[in-house]
Amino acid sequence: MTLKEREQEIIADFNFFHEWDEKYEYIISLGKELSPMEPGLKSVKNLIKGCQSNVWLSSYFKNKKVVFCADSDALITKGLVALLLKIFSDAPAKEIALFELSFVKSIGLDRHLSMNRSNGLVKMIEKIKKISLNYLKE
Amino acid sequence: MVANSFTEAFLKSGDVVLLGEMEHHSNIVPWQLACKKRGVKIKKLNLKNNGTVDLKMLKESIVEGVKLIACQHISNVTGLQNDIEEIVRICKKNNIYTFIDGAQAIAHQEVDVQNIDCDFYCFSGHKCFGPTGTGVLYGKQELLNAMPPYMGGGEMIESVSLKTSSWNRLPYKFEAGTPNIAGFIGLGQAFLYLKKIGLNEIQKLEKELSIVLYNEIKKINNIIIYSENEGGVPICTFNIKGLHGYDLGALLNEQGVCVRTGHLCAQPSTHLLNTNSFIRASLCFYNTKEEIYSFIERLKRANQILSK
Repeated sequence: MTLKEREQEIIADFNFFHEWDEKYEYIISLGKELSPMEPGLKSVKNLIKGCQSNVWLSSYFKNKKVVFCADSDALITKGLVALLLKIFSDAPAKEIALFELSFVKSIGLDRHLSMNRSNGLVKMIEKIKKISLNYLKE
Repeated sequence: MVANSFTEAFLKSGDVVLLGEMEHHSNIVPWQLACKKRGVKIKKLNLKNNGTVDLKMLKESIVEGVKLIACQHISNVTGLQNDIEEIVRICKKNNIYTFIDGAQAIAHQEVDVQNIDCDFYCFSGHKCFGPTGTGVLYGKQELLNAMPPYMGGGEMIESVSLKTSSWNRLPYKFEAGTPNIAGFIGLGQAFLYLKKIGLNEIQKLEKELSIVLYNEIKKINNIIIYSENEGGVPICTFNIKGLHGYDLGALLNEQGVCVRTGHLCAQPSTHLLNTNSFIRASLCFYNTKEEIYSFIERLKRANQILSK
Protein backbone atom coordinates (compact mmCIF):
# COMPACT_ATOMS: atom_id res chain seq x y z
CA MET A 1 0.00 0.00 0.00
CA THR A 2 1.38 3.42 -0.90
CA LEU A 3 1.41 6.22 1.67
CA LYS A 4 -1.33 7.93 -0.31
CA GLU A 5 -3.50 4.82 -0.03
CA ARG A 6 -2.81 4.60 3.70
CA GLU A 7 -3.85 8.19 4.08
CA GLN A 8 -7.05 7.63 2.08
CA GLU A 9 -7.89 4.76 4.39
CA ILE A 10 -7.66 7.06 7.42
CA ILE A 11 -9.83 9.67 5.74
CA ALA A 12 -12.40 6.96 4.97
CA ASP A 13 -12.32 5.78 8.61
CA PHE A 14 -13.01 9.30 9.84
CA ASN A 15 -15.92 9.69 7.44
CA PHE A 16 -17.84 7.33 9.70
CA PHE A 17 -17.86 9.88 12.48
CA HIS A 18 -20.24 12.76 12.49
CA GLU A 19 -19.84 13.98 16.05
CA TRP A 20 -16.72 15.62 17.40
CA ASP A 21 -16.63 13.37 20.47
CA GLU A 22 -16.73 10.16 18.40
CA LYS A 23 -13.75 11.42 16.44
CA TYR A 24 -11.76 12.11 19.59
CA GLU A 25 -12.72 8.83 21.20
CA TYR A 26 -11.40 7.09 18.09
CA ILE A 27 -8.14 9.09 18.15
CA ILE A 28 -7.66 8.24 21.82
CA SER A 29 -8.34 4.55 21.15
CA LEU A 30 -5.72 4.55 18.37
CA GLY A 31 -3.21 5.92 20.85
CA LYS A 32 -4.04 3.19 23.32
CA GLU A 33 -3.46 0.55 20.62
CA LEU A 34 0.10 1.77 19.92
CA SER A 35 2.75 -0.82 20.74
CA PRO A 36 4.30 0.15 24.05
CA MET A 37 7.58 1.99 23.82
CA GLU A 38 10.48 0.61 25.81
CA PRO A 39 11.13 2.91 28.78
CA GLY A 40 14.77 3.24 27.73
CA LEU A 41 13.67 4.79 24.44
CA LYS A 42 11.84 7.58 26.23
CA SER A 43 15.07 9.52 26.36
CA VAL A 44 15.86 13.20 26.03
CA LYS A 45 17.32 12.37 22.60
CA ASN A 46 13.99 10.98 21.40
CA LEU A 47 11.88 13.75 22.94
CA ILE A 48 10.36 16.11 20.39
CA LYS A 49 11.02 19.62 21.66
CA GLY A 50 8.41 22.34 21.48
CA CYS A 51 5.36 20.22 22.22
CA GLN A 52 2.99 21.10 25.05
CA SER A 53 2.91 17.43 25.96
CA ASN A 54 5.88 15.08 25.91
CA VAL A 55 6.25 13.10 22.69
CA TRP A 56 9.00 10.54 22.18
CA LEU A 57 9.82 9.17 18.76
CA SER A 58 12.34 6.44 17.97
CA SER A 59 13.04 4.50 14.79
CA TYR A 60 15.02 1.73 13.14
CA PHE A 61 15.81 0.89 9.55
CA LYS A 62 14.98 -2.59 8.24
CA ASN A 63 14.74 -3.88 4.65
CA LYS A 64 15.05 -0.29 3.38
CA LYS A 65 12.02 0.68 5.41
CA VAL A 66 11.79 2.99 8.40
CA VAL A 67 9.89 1.68 11.40
CA PHE A 68 8.78 4.20 14.02
CA CYS A 69 7.83 3.78 17.63
CA ALA A 70 6.28 6.60 19.68
CA ASP A 71 4.59 7.53 22.92
CA SER A 72 3.16 10.58 24.63
CA ASP A 73 1.95 11.49 28.11
CA ALA A 74 -1.20 13.09 26.65
CA LEU A 75 -3.92 10.85 25.24
CA ILE A 76 -4.92 12.98 22.24
CA THR A 77 -1.31 13.65 21.30
CA LYS A 78 -0.61 9.93 21.52
CA GLY A 79 -3.57 9.28 19.21
CA LEU A 80 -2.32 11.88 16.74
CA VAL A 81 1.12 10.26 16.70
CA ALA A 82 -0.57 6.89 16.17
CA LEU A 83 -2.30 8.35 13.10
CA LEU A 84 1.02 9.59 11.74
CA LEU A 85 2.63 6.22 12.37
CA LYS A 86 -0.23 4.46 10.55
CA ILE A 87 0.87 6.38 7.48
CA PHE A 88 4.61 6.66 7.87
CA SER A 89 5.81 3.63 9.80
CA ASP A 90 7.17 0.63 7.95
CA ALA A 91 7.54 2.59 4.72
CA PRO A 92 10.46 3.34 2.37
CA ALA A 93 12.55 6.26 3.60
CA LYS A 94 12.40 8.07 0.28
CA GLU A 95 8.63 7.84 0.11
CA ILE A 96 8.33 9.25 3.65
CA ALA A 97 10.66 12.13 2.94
CA LEU A 98 8.76 13.12 -0.20
CA PHE A 99 5.17 12.58 0.99
CA GLU A 100 2.97 15.63 1.53
CA LEU A 101 0.28 14.92 4.12
CA SER A 102 -3.21 16.18 3.52
CA PHE A 103 -5.37 14.09 5.86
CA VAL A 104 -5.06 16.42 8.85
CA LYS A 105 -7.18 19.05 7.20
CA SER A 106 -9.60 16.67 5.52
CA ILE A 107 -10.55 14.98 8.79
CA GLY A 108 -10.98 18.32 10.53
CA LEU A 109 -7.93 18.16 12.76
CA ASP A 110 -6.21 21.19 11.28
CA ARG A 111 -6.85 23.12 14.46
CA HIS A 112 -4.17 20.89 15.94
CA LEU A 113 -1.75 22.41 13.49
CA SER A 114 -2.55 25.97 14.40
CA MET A 115 -4.21 25.82 17.84
CA ASN A 116 -1.03 26.67 19.62
CA ARG A 117 2.41 27.53 18.41
CA SER A 118 3.83 24.99 20.78
CA ASN A 119 1.58 22.24 19.48
CA GLY A 120 3.69 19.44 18.22
CA LEU A 121 1.95 17.94 15.19
CA VAL A 122 4.07 19.97 12.77
CA LYS A 123 7.19 19.15 14.74
CA MET A 124 6.32 15.45 14.74
CA ILE A 125 5.94 15.42 10.96
CA GLU A 126 9.21 17.34 10.56
CA LYS A 127 11.02 14.89 12.81
CA ILE A 128 9.62 11.84 10.98
CA LYS A 129 10.82 13.28 7.67
CA LYS A 130 14.22 14.28 9.05
CA ILE A 131 14.83 10.79 10.45
CA SER A 132 13.90 9.28 7.06
CA LEU A 133 16.22 11.67 5.21
CA ASN A 134 19.06 10.69 7.54
CA TYR A 135 18.51 6.99 6.73
CA LEU A 136 18.62 7.84 3.02
CA LYS A 137 21.99 9.52 3.46
CA GLU A 138 23.50 6.50 5.25
CA MET B 1 13.07 49.34 28.08
CA VAL B 2 13.46 49.78 31.85
CA ALA B 3 15.56 46.62 32.11
CA ASN B 4 17.98 48.04 29.55
CA SER B 5 18.07 51.73 30.37
CA PHE B 6 17.75 51.45 34.15
CA THR B 7 20.44 48.77 34.31
CA GLU B 8 22.75 50.91 32.21
CA ALA B 9 22.24 54.00 34.36
CA PHE B 10 22.00 52.58 37.86
CA LEU B 11 23.52 49.10 38.08
CA LYS B 12 27.09 47.91 37.95
CA SER B 13 28.81 44.55 37.79
CA GLY B 14 28.14 42.53 40.94
CA ASP B 15 24.85 44.27 41.78
CA VAL B 16 21.79 42.08 42.29
CA VAL B 17 18.24 42.06 40.91
CA LEU B 18 15.66 40.07 42.90
CA LEU B 19 13.12 37.97 41.00
CA GLY B 20 10.51 35.48 42.19
CA GLU B 21 9.55 32.24 40.45
CA MET B 22 5.98 33.38 39.81
CA GLU B 23 6.97 36.16 37.44
CA HIS B 24 5.75 36.13 33.84
CA HIS B 25 8.52 35.51 31.32
CA SER B 26 8.16 39.18 30.33
CA ASN B 27 9.41 40.17 33.77
CA ILE B 28 12.26 37.65 33.77
CA VAL B 29 13.80 37.48 30.30
CA PRO B 30 14.40 41.26 29.77
CA TRP B 31 16.25 41.35 33.11
CA GLN B 32 18.32 38.32 32.13
CA LEU B 33 19.28 39.93 28.82
CA ALA B 34 20.12 43.30 30.35
CA CYS B 35 21.87 41.93 33.44
CA LYS B 36 24.08 39.62 31.40
CA LYS B 37 25.46 42.58 29.45
CA ARG B 38 26.47 44.42 32.62
CA GLY B 39 27.51 41.58 34.87
CA VAL B 40 24.54 42.11 37.19
CA LYS B 41 23.39 39.02 39.07
CA ILE B 42 19.83 37.75 39.33
CA LYS B 43 18.88 36.29 42.68
CA LYS B 44 15.83 34.20 43.46
CA LEU B 45 13.37 35.71 45.87
CA ASN B 46 11.87 32.86 47.89
CA LEU B 47 8.09 32.93 47.94
CA LYS B 48 5.26 31.46 49.99
CA ASN B 49 3.89 28.07 48.86
CA ASN B 50 1.01 29.85 47.13
CA GLY B 51 3.48 31.95 45.12
CA THR B 52 2.97 35.31 46.82
CA VAL B 53 5.77 37.39 48.30
CA ASP B 54 6.45 36.65 51.95
CA LEU B 55 7.46 39.93 53.58
CA LYS B 56 9.71 38.16 56.08
CA MET B 57 11.50 36.26 53.31
CA LEU B 58 11.80 39.50 51.36
CA LYS B 59 13.55 41.17 54.30
CA GLU B 60 15.89 38.18 54.56
CA SER B 61 16.69 38.40 50.83
CA ILE B 62 17.81 41.98 51.14
CA VAL B 63 21.54 41.57 51.39
CA GLU B 64 24.51 43.62 50.23
CA GLY B 65 24.34 44.30 46.50
CA VAL B 66 20.55 44.01 46.03
CA LYS B 67 19.54 47.10 44.04
CA LEU B 68 16.17 46.29 42.48
CA ILE B 69 13.20 44.00 42.83
CA ALA B 70 11.05 43.20 39.79
CA CYS B 71 7.75 41.95 41.11
CA GLN B 72 4.24 41.28 39.89
CA HIS B 73 1.20 43.00 41.37
CA ILE B 74 -1.10 40.06 40.59
CA SER B 75 -0.01 36.64 39.32
CA ASN B 76 -1.17 35.54 35.87
CA VAL B 77 -0.98 31.96 37.15
CA THR B 78 -2.89 32.16 40.42
CA GLY B 79 -4.60 35.55 40.35
CA LEU B 80 -3.25 36.10 43.86
CA GLN B 81 -2.23 39.60 44.78
CA ASN B 82 1.02 40.70 46.38
CA ASP B 83 1.02 43.22 49.20
CA ILE B 84 2.67 45.64 46.84
CA GLU B 85 2.48 48.73 49.10
CA GLU B 86 4.28 46.90 51.87
CA ILE B 87 6.85 45.40 49.47
CA VAL B 88 7.62 48.89 48.15
CA ARG B 89 7.81 50.30 51.69
CA ILE B 90 10.32 47.63 52.76
CA CYS B 91 12.39 48.13 49.61
CA LYS B 92 12.45 51.93 49.94
CA LYS B 93 13.63 51.64 53.51
CA ASN B 94 16.55 49.59 52.20
CA ASN B 95 17.25 51.81 49.16
CA ILE B 96 16.08 49.18 46.70
CA TYR B 97 14.34 50.23 43.51
CA THR B 98 10.96 48.67 42.69
CA PHE B 99 9.65 47.63 39.30
CA ILE B 100 6.04 46.41 39.40
CA ASP B 101 4.43 44.35 36.62
CA GLY B 102 0.81 45.40 36.75
CA ALA B 103 -0.41 43.60 33.61
CA GLN B 104 -2.82 41.40 35.55
CA ALA B 105 -4.05 44.06 37.97
CA ILE B 106 -4.83 47.02 35.80
CA ALA B 107 -8.20 45.90 34.41
CA HIS B 108 -9.46 44.41 37.66
CA GLN B 109 -9.04 47.09 40.30
CA GLU B 110 -8.10 50.70 40.83
CA VAL B 111 -4.36 51.20 40.82
CA ASP B 112 -2.86 54.33 42.35
CA VAL B 113 0.84 54.41 41.52
CA GLN B 114 1.45 57.43 43.73
CA ASN B 115 -0.02 55.64 46.70
CA ILE B 116 1.95 52.47 45.93
CA ASP B 117 5.00 54.74 45.58
CA CYS B 118 6.90 52.27 43.38
CA ASP B 119 9.67 53.46 41.06
CA PHE B 120 8.15 51.83 37.97
CA TYR B 121 4.77 50.33 37.15
CA CYS B 122 3.93 48.88 33.76
CA PHE B 123 1.18 47.03 31.95
CA SER B 124 0.29 45.93 28.45
CA GLY B 125 -2.62 47.55 26.63
CA HIS B 126 -4.18 44.28 25.55
CA LYS B 127 -4.66 43.27 29.19
CA CYS B 128 -7.14 46.09 29.60
CA PHE B 129 -8.98 45.55 26.31
CA GLY B 130 -6.76 47.81 24.22
CA PRO B 131 -5.01 46.90 20.97
CA THR B 132 -2.01 44.58 20.98
CA GLY B 133 1.38 46.22 20.74
CA THR B 134 0.48 49.01 23.16
CA GLY B 135 1.51 49.43 26.77
CA VAL B 136 2.01 51.91 29.57
CA LEU B 137 5.02 52.62 31.75
CA TYR B 138 4.93 54.80 34.83
CA GLY B 139 8.29 55.81 36.20
CA LYS B 140 9.66 58.30 38.71
CA GLN B 141 10.68 61.39 36.82
CA GLU B 142 14.16 61.70 38.31
CA LEU B 143 14.94 58.09 37.38
CA LEU B 144 13.59 58.40 33.84
CA ASN B 145 15.61 61.61 33.41
CA ALA B 146 18.77 59.85 34.49
CA MET B 147 18.21 56.86 32.21
CA PRO B 148 19.65 56.81 28.67
CA PRO B 149 17.25 56.40 25.71
CA TYR B 150 16.46 52.82 24.76
CA MET B 151 16.08 53.34 21.02
CA GLY B 152 17.00 56.16 18.68
CA GLY B 153 15.32 58.29 16.02
CA GLY B 154 12.01 60.08 15.58
CA GLU B 155 10.75 62.47 18.24
CA MET B 156 13.23 61.32 20.87
CA ILE B 157 15.92 63.74 19.69
CA GLU B 158 16.49 67.38 20.55
CA SER B 159 19.34 67.92 18.11
CA VAL B 160 21.52 65.66 16.01
CA SER B 161 24.92 66.13 14.46
CA LEU B 162 27.15 63.45 13.02
CA LYS B 163 29.27 63.43 16.14
CA THR B 164 26.69 63.68 18.90
CA SER B 165 23.01 64.02 19.70
CA SER B 166 20.93 65.31 22.56
CA TRP B 167 17.57 64.09 23.75
CA ASN B 168 14.11 65.52 23.91
CA ARG B 169 12.38 65.84 27.30
CA LEU B 170 10.22 63.15 28.87
CA PRO B 171 8.30 61.23 27.71
CA TYR B 172 9.57 61.82 24.14
CA LYS B 173 13.08 60.67 25.04
CA PHE B 174 11.72 57.12 25.24
CA GLU B 175 9.40 57.33 22.25
CA ALA B 176 11.69 56.65 19.33
CA GLY B 177 10.39 56.21 15.80
CA THR B 178 6.89 56.82 14.55
CA PRO B 179 4.49 56.15 17.40
CA ASN B 180 1.78 53.50 17.18
CA ILE B 181 -0.80 56.29 16.82
CA ALA B 182 -3.82 54.17 15.91
CA GLY B 183 -2.97 51.68 18.65
CA PHE B 184 -2.85 54.34 21.34
CA ILE B 185 -6.10 55.97 20.20
CA GLY B 186 -7.56 52.48 20.65
CA LEU B 187 -6.00 52.17 24.08
CA GLY B 188 -7.49 55.52 25.07
CA GLN B 189 -10.92 54.23 24.07
CA ALA B 190 -10.32 51.06 26.10
CA PHE B 191 -9.60 53.20 29.17
CA LEU B 192 -12.79 55.18 28.59
CA TYR B 193 -14.70 51.90 28.32
CA LEU B 194 -13.28 50.71 31.65
CA LYS B 195 -13.95 54.08 33.23
CA LYS B 196 -17.55 54.03 32.02
CA ILE B 197 -18.20 50.67 33.68
CA GLY B 198 -16.10 51.66 36.67
CA LEU B 199 -13.31 49.62 38.22
CA ASN B 200 -15.17 49.28 41.52
CA GLU B 201 -18.15 47.86 39.67
CA ILE B 202 -15.83 45.52 37.72
CA GLN B 203 -14.29 44.31 40.97
CA LYS B 204 -17.75 43.67 42.40
CA LEU B 205 -18.93 41.73 39.32
CA GLU B 206 -15.74 39.71 39.16
CA LYS B 207 -15.92 38.83 42.84
CA GLU B 208 -19.37 37.31 42.32
CA LEU B 209 -18.19 35.36 39.25
CA SER B 210 -15.12 34.13 41.06
CA ILE B 211 -17.19 32.76 43.95
CA VAL B 212 -19.47 30.84 41.56
CA LEU B 213 -16.49 29.58 39.54
CA TYR B 214 -14.71 28.19 42.60
CA ASN B 215 -17.91 26.75 44.10
CA GLU B 216 -18.61 24.83 40.93
CA ILE B 217 -15.10 23.74 40.00
CA LYS B 218 -14.44 22.38 43.50
CA LYS B 219 -17.22 19.85 42.91
CA ILE B 220 -15.27 18.19 40.06
CA ASN B 221 -13.73 14.87 41.08
CA ASN B 222 -9.95 14.79 41.37
CA ILE B 223 -9.58 18.52 40.76
CA ILE B 224 -6.29 20.12 41.78
CA ILE B 225 -6.62 23.88 42.24
CA TYR B 226 -3.47 25.98 42.25
CA SER B 227 -4.98 29.38 42.73
CA GLU B 228 -7.29 29.37 45.82
CA ASN B 229 -8.46 32.80 44.78
CA GLU B 230 -12.15 32.70 45.63
CA GLY B 231 -13.63 36.16 45.61
CA GLY B 232 -10.62 37.71 43.89
CA VAL B 233 -9.61 38.08 40.25
CA PRO B 234 -11.89 35.55 38.49
CA ILE B 235 -9.33 33.07 37.24
CA CYS B 236 -8.91 29.48 38.29
CA THR B 237 -5.78 27.51 37.48
CA PHE B 238 -6.22 23.79 37.86
CA ASN B 239 -5.51 20.27 36.71
CA ILE B 240 -7.53 17.09 36.93
CA LYS B 241 -5.51 14.35 38.57
CA GLY B 242 -4.34 11.73 36.06
CA LEU B 243 -5.24 13.79 32.98
CA HIS B 244 -3.03 15.92 30.78
CA GLY B 245 -3.91 19.59 30.49
CA TYR B 246 -3.40 19.52 26.75
CA ASP B 247 -6.07 16.81 26.36
CA LEU B 248 -8.60 18.68 28.46
CA GLY B 249 -7.82 21.92 26.65
CA ALA B 250 -8.30 20.31 23.22
CA LEU B 251 -11.66 18.81 24.19
CA LEU B 252 -12.88 22.05 25.77
CA ASN B 253 -11.81 23.85 22.63
CA GLU B 254 -13.92 21.44 20.55
CA GLN B 255 -16.88 22.44 22.70
CA GLY B 256 -16.32 26.14 22.21
CA VAL B 257 -14.60 26.86 25.52
CA CYS B 258 -11.27 28.66 25.45
CA VAL B 259 -8.92 27.85 28.28
CA ARG B 260 -5.21 28.39 28.46
CA THR B 261 -3.06 25.27 28.91
CA GLY B 262 0.65 24.74 29.41
CA HIS B 263 3.12 26.80 31.41
CA LEU B 264 1.12 30.06 31.05
CA CYS B 265 4.28 31.98 30.05
CA ALA B 266 5.53 31.45 33.58
CA GLN B 267 7.67 28.32 33.39
CA PRO B 268 9.45 28.80 36.73
CA SER B 269 6.04 28.84 38.46
CA THR B 270 5.45 25.23 37.37
CA HIS B 271 8.45 24.20 39.49
CA LEU B 272 7.20 26.13 42.49
CA LEU B 273 3.69 24.70 42.20
CA ASN B 274 5.00 21.23 41.43
CA THR B 275 3.45 20.47 38.04
CA ASN B 276 4.42 20.33 34.36
CA SER B 277 1.50 22.30 33.05
CA PHE B 278 -1.68 24.09 34.06
CA ILE B 279 -5.17 24.70 32.74
CA ARG B 280 -6.50 28.19 33.40
CA ALA B 281 -10.08 29.30 33.14
CA SER B 282 -9.90 33.08 32.84
CA LEU B 283 -13.10 35.01 33.33
CA CYS B 284 -13.84 38.68 33.13
CA PHE B 285 -16.63 40.99 34.24
CA TYR B 286 -18.52 40.48 30.97
CA ASN B 287 -18.88 36.74 31.55
CA THR B 288 -22.03 35.34 33.13
CA LYS B 289 -22.82 32.73 35.76
CA GLU B 290 -24.56 30.69 33.04
CA GLU B 291 -21.29 30.58 31.12
CA ILE B 292 -19.57 29.19 34.21
CA TYR B 293 -22.19 26.41 34.56
CA SER B 294 -21.82 25.65 30.86
CA PHE B 295 -18.01 25.52 31.17
CA ILE B 296 -18.32 23.09 34.10
CA GLU B 297 -20.64 20.81 32.11
CA ARG B 298 -18.22 20.80 29.19
CA LEU B 299 -15.28 20.16 31.49
CA LYS B 300 -17.15 17.16 32.88
CA ARG B 301 -17.79 15.92 29.33
CA ALA B 302 -14.09 16.27 28.46
CA ASN B 303 -13.18 14.44 31.67
CA GLN B 304 -15.63 11.66 30.80
CA ILE B 305 -14.16 11.14 27.30
CA LEU B 306 -10.62 11.04 28.62
CA SER B 307 -11.41 8.74 31.53
CA LYS B 308 -13.03 5.99 29.45
